[in-house]
Amino acid sequence: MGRDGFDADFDTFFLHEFPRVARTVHHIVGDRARAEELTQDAFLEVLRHWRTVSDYDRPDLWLRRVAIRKAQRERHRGWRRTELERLAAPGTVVDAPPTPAPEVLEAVRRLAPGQRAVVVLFYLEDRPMAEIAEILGIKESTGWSQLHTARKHLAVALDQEVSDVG
Amino acid sequence: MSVDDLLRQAFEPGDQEWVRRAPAAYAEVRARHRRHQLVRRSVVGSLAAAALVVAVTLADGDARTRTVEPADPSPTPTSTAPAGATPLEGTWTSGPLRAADVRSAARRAGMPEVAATMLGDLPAGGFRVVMVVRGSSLRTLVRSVGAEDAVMDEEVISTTGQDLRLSTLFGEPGVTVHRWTVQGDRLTMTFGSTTEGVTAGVPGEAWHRLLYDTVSFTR
Repeated sequence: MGRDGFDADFDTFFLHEFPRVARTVHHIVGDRARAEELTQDAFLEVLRHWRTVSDYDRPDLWLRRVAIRKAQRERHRGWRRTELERLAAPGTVVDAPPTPAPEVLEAVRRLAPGQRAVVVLFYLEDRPMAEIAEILGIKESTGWSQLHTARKHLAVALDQEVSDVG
Repeated sequence: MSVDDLLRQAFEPGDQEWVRRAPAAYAEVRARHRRHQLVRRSVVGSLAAAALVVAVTLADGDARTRTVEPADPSPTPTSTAPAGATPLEGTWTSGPLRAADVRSAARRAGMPEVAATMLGDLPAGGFRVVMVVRGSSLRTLVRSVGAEDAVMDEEVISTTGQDLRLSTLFGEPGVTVHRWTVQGDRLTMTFGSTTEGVTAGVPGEAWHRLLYDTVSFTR
């Protein structure tokens, strides 16, 4: 592939995936500016390895794995503190993702990190559990277990019933 | 309405702001990539220039009877092998760590004032560190009672003799070297050096000293 085609492929990939990945990361970290930084960081990694990544069957899964790992790593190296402080002060979130049900997203943000990622990928991105497991580097059974636990927590938090999915 | 329906409804609306942001974000990623390439070329160029100077100097010396004393021979490098080829492969769990250990790690890293920040990111009441080594991949988790394991770190690792080299997989690039020994089922690590910078006010050295060096690990 010539340089032009090489670049054009990345351009197409970026413009298609950026809004989707940024939105997912936004739901995971809860902050629009940080979500954009993390998503850009992930795309930068992709661009650095584009010659290899573009040969993958599913570069979109690799991109999400990098973006979500970055978000989770940061959570545990400093960012979590900021987020906990913000969660402890309801009403200070000024850039919550648009939704007709903010209390639902607020409950999602209070889930454990692994559960939250599974919930966002499952309900927002509508991905099959096999892909979610690949993105998060977990077993499919672990993904189902985390989803089940998350839904139980959400049912309690939202005072709702749990129905079967999957 | 079920939780399932509530979640689908909550996530239903699109967020067109991200579509509008895409061109600007694309320009920023491309610019950062160019800067990265320029830095890399500059480093490679400097090394090439240095090599050229050495070559010219040596050639010049040969032509006029060399008067420069030969440099000390470089230490013989030990073989570099992926961690999978070492006894490191597997899952290692540390002894218990407490707040005092966090303060000690921050102090040993030369920044005792960051201990409070670190403690804010760790489970209250003690925890253990779990290292999962698969080939050249290291995944480090923090385990505490009544909570899910939390991913603290992911690195690419390799060994050279008794040096264990950890390269950050995500985030800003950084390389950390620990000395390591395995005796039976016990792994002991000692911090050597790092190029990791500061994340959220905490230097990488403090995290490395805490997670890997404070107590030994067992399989």
